[in-house]
Amino acid sequence: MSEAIDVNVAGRKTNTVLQMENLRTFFYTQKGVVKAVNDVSLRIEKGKTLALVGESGCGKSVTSLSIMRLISKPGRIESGRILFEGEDLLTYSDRRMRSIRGNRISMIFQEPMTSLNPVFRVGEQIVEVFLTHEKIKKSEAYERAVELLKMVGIPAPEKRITSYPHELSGGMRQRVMIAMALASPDPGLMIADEPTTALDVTIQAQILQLMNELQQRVKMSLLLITHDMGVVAETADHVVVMYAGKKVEEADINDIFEHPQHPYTVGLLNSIPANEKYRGRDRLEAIPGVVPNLLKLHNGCPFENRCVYARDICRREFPERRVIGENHEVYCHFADQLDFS
Amino acid sequence: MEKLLEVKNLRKHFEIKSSKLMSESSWLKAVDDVSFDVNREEVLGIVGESGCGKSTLGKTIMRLYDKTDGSVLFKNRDVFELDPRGVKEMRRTMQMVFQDPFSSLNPRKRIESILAQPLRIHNMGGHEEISRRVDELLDEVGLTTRYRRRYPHQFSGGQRQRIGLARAVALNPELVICDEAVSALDVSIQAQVLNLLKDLQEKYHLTYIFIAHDLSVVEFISDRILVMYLGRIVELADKEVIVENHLHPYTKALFEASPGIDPRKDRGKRVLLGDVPSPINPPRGCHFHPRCPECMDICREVYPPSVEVEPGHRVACHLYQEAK
Amino acid sequence: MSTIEQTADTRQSRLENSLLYENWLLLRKNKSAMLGLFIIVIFILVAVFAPLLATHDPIAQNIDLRLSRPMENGYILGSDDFGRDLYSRIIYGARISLMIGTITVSIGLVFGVFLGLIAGYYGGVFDILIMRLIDIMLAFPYILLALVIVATLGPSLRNAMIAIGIVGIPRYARIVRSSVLAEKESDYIIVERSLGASNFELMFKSILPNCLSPIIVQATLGYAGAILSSAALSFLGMGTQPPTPEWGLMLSSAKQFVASAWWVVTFPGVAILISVLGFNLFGDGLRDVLDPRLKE
Repeated sequence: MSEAIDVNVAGRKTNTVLQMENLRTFFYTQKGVVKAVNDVSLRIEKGKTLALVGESGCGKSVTSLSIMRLISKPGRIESGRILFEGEDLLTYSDRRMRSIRGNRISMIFQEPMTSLNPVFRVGEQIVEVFLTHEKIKKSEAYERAVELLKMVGIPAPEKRITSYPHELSGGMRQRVMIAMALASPDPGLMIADEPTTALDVTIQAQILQLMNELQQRVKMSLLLITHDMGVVAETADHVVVMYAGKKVEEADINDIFEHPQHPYTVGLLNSIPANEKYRGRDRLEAIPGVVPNLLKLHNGCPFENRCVYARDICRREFPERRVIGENHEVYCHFADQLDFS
Repeated sequence: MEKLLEVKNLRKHFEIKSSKLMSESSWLKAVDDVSFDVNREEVLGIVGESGCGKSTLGKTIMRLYDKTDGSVLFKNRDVFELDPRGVKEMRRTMQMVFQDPFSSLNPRKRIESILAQPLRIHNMGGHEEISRRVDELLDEVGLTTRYRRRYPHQFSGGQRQRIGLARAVALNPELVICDEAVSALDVSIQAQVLNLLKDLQEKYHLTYIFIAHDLSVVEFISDRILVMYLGRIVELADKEVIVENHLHPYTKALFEASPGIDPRKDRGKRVLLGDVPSPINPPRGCHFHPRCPECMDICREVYPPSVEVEPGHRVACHLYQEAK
Repeated sequence: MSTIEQTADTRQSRLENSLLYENWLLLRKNKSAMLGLFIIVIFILVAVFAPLLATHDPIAQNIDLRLSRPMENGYILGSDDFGRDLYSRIIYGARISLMIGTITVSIGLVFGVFLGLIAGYYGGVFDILIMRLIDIMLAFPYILLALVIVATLGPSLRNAMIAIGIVGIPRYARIVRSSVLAEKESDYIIVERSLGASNFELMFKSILPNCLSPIIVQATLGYAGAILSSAALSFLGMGTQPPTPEWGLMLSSAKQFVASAWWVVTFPGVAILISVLGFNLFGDGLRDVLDPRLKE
């Protein structure tokens, strides 16, 4: 059952690069079932950045791996649809999925050192991406690789192309990853899973700026997965907040920071020391408690045990979707009754 | 205010033995001529990116590394001149909390044993007294005492960090060095632990050296902030002063790059170019000059001396060579 | 501030707090490891209750009834060329093998762990000296070294055990040394040192418990190796001397009867096979359970 979100933007449906509907990805572990992604829907528009935000265990990484169909045992995509340019990726054969990966949908990860093969030169790895998806001569592939390295801001690309990953700094490696992700002639969607978390903050700023620029230039759509609201503030157009496998709130960038409506979103923003409100104060308004054990979740709202507004109903039922503004929806029983100003 | 710690011209260099047979080894100058003081009951924040030496600095102050040169005066006694008994005594009063909540607790020991260990080593009472103190400590940091017989892997990251904190304050130390103590935690848990740090500080009248790479966290918790780059101090001042009026171009770049949470303001920032260089072969002259937007000729040749531009505010930059 | 849910301090939760129990639960799921364990338990029971299980005196000869077939003349598995009951000898052989395994593993373990600890923890000249010694020992083929030791001391079961034990030291030393090197740099060790812990406490109470997993695996597999080595030595006449009912010796003295009295050769061989298999299966299962946990 697809979500009514289409209704709002029915006229702009063709601008959708990715539409994920009611995705459920579960992990069948020895100790029980972990509902890593539990009925989550989202939509990425062409040329825009969607940030998927949440803390550890919320399911954001699993979501991205599900889109790429890189979930392996004991995980399984239970149900849902992942429409990429109109077609459901979950119905694709392995072969067809392989032709999509690295080509139309590419992914960059947090640790570029482990995503790049340490025994191959950087140039070889980029060229490999070209040659996998296109029939071109190796020399041409190398030329294009140099162009790509230039595009991602690597100085002296003709020299760098023969470097090994360990000869490059973290920031450089991440640029190489981005170059690889762009190595196809028609990149539809880039998924970046915590791309700057392992980098120094000044390098992070460079990478984020690069991604913003590339997005303008190549009209690339970006699914950015992060736990860092600061990164979200700098790059996202639209934001989805996840908690314990569920989507709890979704809004455009300014709304999520200025008018958050879910107690978790509010709590998250309050936990950030950079928040304006803490000028001159020395205690943070922290969310009490810890994330519940994902193996022992009840059927209600997973945030219930930490929420100061929780009532009985929160334990019994997961809240329905409530639209509270333009492109702004929240999953909370008291969505419009709580005043967070 | 009384000075609890005085670091004078501290240097810690590591020798990198060359892999080639006849070549000379190179030196990694992790900490290179660092001097500063820490006042009682203040929080001194040390911020910088990877390779700046802040972690090495913390460990050297604790005498977990041997110094290469300089001195560290803790309550007026040089920690590097102490005899073994003196060192043990010092260990009681100076403690450290580490970044990784997963590796800073011995995975084969139960929590009660981990917490009892420092008390036992320093003879803080008999078996029963120590056991009682363990309960107290767990309570202090917000953990239920029922779980004292559990192993570290049975706790979450935030809880493990609390245990690490409990261990650090077990001996009633005077100085606690927090080395990226909250960096590996989720944001919401980080907030809890930051609050806990503050609570413990008030209760035990602790002095903190708070080492981190996240400027906003350092800004929040510190009274004074020290900025490091490639083994040296580039700027040091009271928090409000540095926030309002940061002078060193690197400090400026750090503030610019740190993500704020206002989407209307925080886009299109000026970005610092270039990579963080390796501490093995730092650039000549001012270490920051290759990336500095204000680089002048002299910056390429001469390392700028540290100048006190106003009381309590030091900068090492050729742009500010006159004391006001 | 609430933390984990409160659970009553029941026996269940006390068990849950045991690292051993957690490992056991995982191990249980490995069928071949459980088979191995089953074999080992049988092996130990047989060894312990040998006097009750045997039908005859294992060294009592009865030349008249030599080379009786299985189930003939009251010999369940037949008799050997001295008329000794094969079944009882095999039963008592289990006892010998258990003893061999235990003593050789103990020798290897105690000295190997000690050397490995010193080498890994103190490093420097200790490390160099100990590692050279280990390297020298490892340069010789296992059996050759054991033979040399036995030849020097004189062939006997006791000396065979000493030889095999000594020859096993390098393996434990190396394992422990690399574990110690890895653990030494852990944050928690730095912390404990900063709390004032002594070297002794750090080595034995903090680092060593974290090195146990590979040691346990190695010890389990060591039993298998010991049984095989002892059999090899006996086969060469350099280990156990007759009339001790050691499986390897039984095999060796029965060489000539392979064609004519197959049972004299087969049953001791099968005994060796099954017991070695049992230890190997269990040891592998242990390794699977213990190693990935370290990466947790």
